[in-house]
Amino acid sequence: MILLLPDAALSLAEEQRRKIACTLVMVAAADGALVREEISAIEAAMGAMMLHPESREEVRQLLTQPPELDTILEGMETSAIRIALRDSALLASVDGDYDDAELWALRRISDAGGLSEKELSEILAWVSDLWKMSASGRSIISLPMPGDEDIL
Amino acid sequence: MLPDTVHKLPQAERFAYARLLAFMTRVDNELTVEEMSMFEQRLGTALLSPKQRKMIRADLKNPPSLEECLEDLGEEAGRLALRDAVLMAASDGTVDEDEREALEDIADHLDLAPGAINRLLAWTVDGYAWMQAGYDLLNDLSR
Repeated sequence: MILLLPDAALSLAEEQRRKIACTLVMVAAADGALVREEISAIEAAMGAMMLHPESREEVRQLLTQPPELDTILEGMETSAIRIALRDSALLASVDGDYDDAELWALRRISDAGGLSEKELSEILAWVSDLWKMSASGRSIISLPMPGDEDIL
Repeated sequence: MLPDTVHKLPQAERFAYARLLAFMTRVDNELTVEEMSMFEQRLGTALLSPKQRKMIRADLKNPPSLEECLEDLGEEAGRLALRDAVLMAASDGTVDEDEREALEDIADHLDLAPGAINRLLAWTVDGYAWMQAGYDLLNDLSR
C-alpha cells in the first residue's frame, strides 16, 4: 500500500494510532485468512503512522490471535475511527474484492464513526480509484500485473 | 494502499530496494517527517527481517553510494525502487536538483525510456490529488 501526503494519522496520539493498526489486523483477519499482501499492507500502515517499535510488536502479536472489533473501537476517537475506516477499506481491497466478512467489519467501523451506508459507499468508490492509479504507475515502469489492461 | 508487488520479490531484492530508498532519503541532506513516514511505509511493505531493518536504518545515518545500491538491484526491484524513490522525493512537496539528478541516474541505469521521471512525477501528482480527495471526503463526512 502507498499512502501519500503527510498522513493525518501522524497527528494522533500513539495509542490511537496503535488502535488503528489493530483495526487493520481485525479487518484483514475477518475472512479467516491473512495473506501476505495484507500483512505487507499492515506493516506499511504501521510504518506510515510511524508507530513505536513496541506498539508494532504488540500489533504483530495480534496477527495470530485477532481481537474483537468492538474491543478495539472502544476508546477510539471519531477521527481515528474514520482514518481506520479509510485504511481498512484500502486494506480489504488489496487481495481483490471485498467479501461478506470484510464488508461486515467495514460497516461496523463505519457505524462506530457515525457514518451512513451511503457514506461508506463513497469511501469504497474512492478506494476503487486507487486500483486505476496503481495500474497506471506500474505501466510507467513496465511492470504490469494481470488485469491491469482491463483497469486502464 | 497500492495493490503492490514489492513483497513478492526475493528477500535480497527487497533489501536492495530498501537500500536505494535509504540512499534517496539523504540526497538533499535533510530528512523530513514526510520523507521518514514514506520511507517507513515502504520499509514495512518490503517485509524485511528485523536484522535487515536494522541495517537499513544504519544506512540512513551513513548512506551507501548510489553505485553500491544499484549494483545489487535487479531489474524488477530497480523499477519499483525508482517509482517509490520518486514518491519519496516528492513527499515533502518539492523535488530538488540533487534528487532529480539521482532519479535520472537511476532511470538511466535501468535503461528506462526518456521522460520516465517526468511521467512518474505526473503520476505522483495525480496520487496526491487522490489522497487529498480522501481527506476531503473524510472531512465532508465529519460535518
